[in-house]
This record gives sequence, C-alpha cells and structure tokens, in this order.
Amino acid sequence: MKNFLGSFVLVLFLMVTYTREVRADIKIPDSAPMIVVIDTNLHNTGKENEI
Amino acid sequence: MKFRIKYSGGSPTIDWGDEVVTTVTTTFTSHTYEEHGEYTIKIYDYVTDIKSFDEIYTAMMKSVTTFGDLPLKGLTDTFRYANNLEFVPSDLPSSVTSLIRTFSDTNASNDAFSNIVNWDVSNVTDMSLLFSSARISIDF
Repeated sequence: MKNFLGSFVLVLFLMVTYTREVRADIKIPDSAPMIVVIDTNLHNTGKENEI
Repeated sequence: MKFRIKYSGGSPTIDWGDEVVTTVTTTFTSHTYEEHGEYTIKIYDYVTDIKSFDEIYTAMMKSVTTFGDLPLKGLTDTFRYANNLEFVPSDLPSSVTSLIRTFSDTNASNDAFSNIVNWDVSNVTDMSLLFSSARISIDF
C-alpha cells in the first residue's frame, strides 16, 4: 500500500513538473492579442463566484 | 479562482496574466488562479468568436482594451451579463459580421459602452438580440 501511494505521488509530481515545462516552452505569437482585464473578486449581484 | 473562456476557431495561445501560457484545442478552456486579483489575459490567433461561458465569468470582466489581430467573425454573447464592465474597444474589426446577443442582459455603467458609437458595423449582417434585456442608455 505504501509502495502504491509512493508511486502515485511520484507520478503526480512528474506530471506537474512536465506540465510546467511544456507551458514554459510555448512561444508567444508575434501577432497582436485580444486583451481582457478581469478581476476575480467581481461577481454579479446576488451571485457568489465559485471556487 | 477559476475563469473560463468559450470560443470558436482554431487553437489559440492564451497568456493568463499570471505567468502561465497555454495553447488549447478545445472549444472552451478554463484557468485556475491561485489568488484573487486583477489579471490581464492575452488571447492570440485563430479565434473567430469569443463567447461568454457563464455569467459568473463575464461578471469578472473589467475591460476589453483591444480585439487585437484575432480573425473575429462574431461576438456572440461576449459581453452578456458583463455587469462590471468598464471599457470596450473603440474599433470593431471589419471581419465581424455577427453581433448576436453581444450586450444582452448587461447592466454595466453607460460609460463602459460609450465607445460602441464608434463601431463601424457596415459589415455586420446579424444583430439579433444585440441589446436584449440590457440596461444601457446610449445616444447613437
């Protein structure tokens, strides 16, 4: 059971690390982007934002 | 805190404003921020229609400062329920032909939409429900 949990945690760690590396490799295009400014604290009256 | 974007088109690259950049292939994507706050999201390439996904998320929109070089054809529901919106671009891309429900159900301040009067809509062929149930007072 401990070995299984240890392997699971290791695989999870490697997945997170790999994902971050892939994201870091993405090249930002030279084209002009659409720019949207958001504030996660904002919500419509009477409606709370989900976590 | 999660933020979602729904769109049509290819696989855009999105800079979420918190040092995370992703390229997505689905028709909608979401991103989770570790902390509450203000973020500047940059959407690059391929998107032909920016659609709101849920009023929870459009409520978080403070401004759209530019549509950039996106090959936009439509703004379906883009600002629907965007009750906290403060600014929209003064230029509408000439490629846009559809403004279906773009500002419907919106209750933001009139100042937020003052730039709409400058939009050249000569290529727009569908404005169905553009301001449906919106509380906007603009002198066109």
